Amino acid sequence: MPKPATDEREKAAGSAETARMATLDLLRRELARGTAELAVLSILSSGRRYGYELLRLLRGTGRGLLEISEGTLYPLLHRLEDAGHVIATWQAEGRARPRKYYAITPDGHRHVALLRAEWSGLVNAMQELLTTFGEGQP
Amino acid sequence: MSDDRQSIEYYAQAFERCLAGPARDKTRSRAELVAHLYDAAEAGELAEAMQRLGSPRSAAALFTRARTAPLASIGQRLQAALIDLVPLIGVTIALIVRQVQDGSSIQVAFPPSLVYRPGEGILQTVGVPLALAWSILVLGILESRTGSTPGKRLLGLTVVTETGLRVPLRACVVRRLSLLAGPFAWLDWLPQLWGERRRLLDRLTKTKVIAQRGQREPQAIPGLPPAVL
Repeated sequence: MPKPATDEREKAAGSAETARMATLDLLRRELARGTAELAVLSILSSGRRYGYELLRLLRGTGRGLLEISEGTLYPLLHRLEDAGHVIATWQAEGRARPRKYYAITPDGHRHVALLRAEWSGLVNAMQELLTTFGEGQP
Repeated sequence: MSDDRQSIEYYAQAFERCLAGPARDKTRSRAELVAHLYDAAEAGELAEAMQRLGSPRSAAALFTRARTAPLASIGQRLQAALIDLVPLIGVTIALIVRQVQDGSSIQVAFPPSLVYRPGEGILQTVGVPLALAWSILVLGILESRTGSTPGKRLLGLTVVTETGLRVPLRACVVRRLSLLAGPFAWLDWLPQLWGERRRLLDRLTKTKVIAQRGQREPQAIPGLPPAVL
């Protein structure tokens, strides 16, 4: 039978771990929201995709680091469609149920090129900053 | 798969009941949700997908485009109100005409006050309450059922919640109650003076009036009758 003091320590460690995971989840969601547009347009640059296919590709990238859900994906796809960056078409292609395919437009290609350039600049700047002022630096 | 089909069907029905706007838009949003859920079911991930989506109401808020649609301008709203309030405008004009014929000074405002004064004719005692009942109750019920009134439909406007969903009946009636205040009803429109596109009662009932975007010719969805699209 464990001593009460050990129980207390295990409980404290458990709640600290839960808090750490919650913080990590929140951080991933925030980062995913900021990068979702670039991620979706980059995937669509390689060919048209339907909603669930896109979601699986996004969620499978980087061992699930991109915490993108339907709540982020569909409003984003509709926004990109309204902005003319993607176009949607319904196709059955021999299936009983049709699927809605999203494809990138020429305007979307120009937009993703701009986003990629911005992203590369940001990553390089952050890398430089982390190297200069990283952990352990005086 | 038959259990999955049933779950998807129930979920999609509840989802569609939360949507506002034209039947064509509802059908298209439902079709996209259903396609997504069937793809999830084929991948053996239906439960996870439904869990991520949450309740049918929260899913409806994700799939509807009404959430991000632009708000109607004051011009569009006033034009729609002019059409919807024809009975009330008609009664007001009739009251003015009667007062002119009687040779008395004109004491009518718009909207006409519901306050009863002894000796007033049938126009004030029956006409005004009936016109107000049309403007508040009948139009409120129509708005709750279809998201629109005859005037709004003509102008391509829809009333939705702040998240773009169908507005409950009580809120639809409450947002029209300012008409009971007689000429003070115009105070409800005050925020328009500083550029806001929502009335005070829109804010109170957490609703908004949206303008449908320039309609592209919608592509038919294979397998669905074109009549609903």
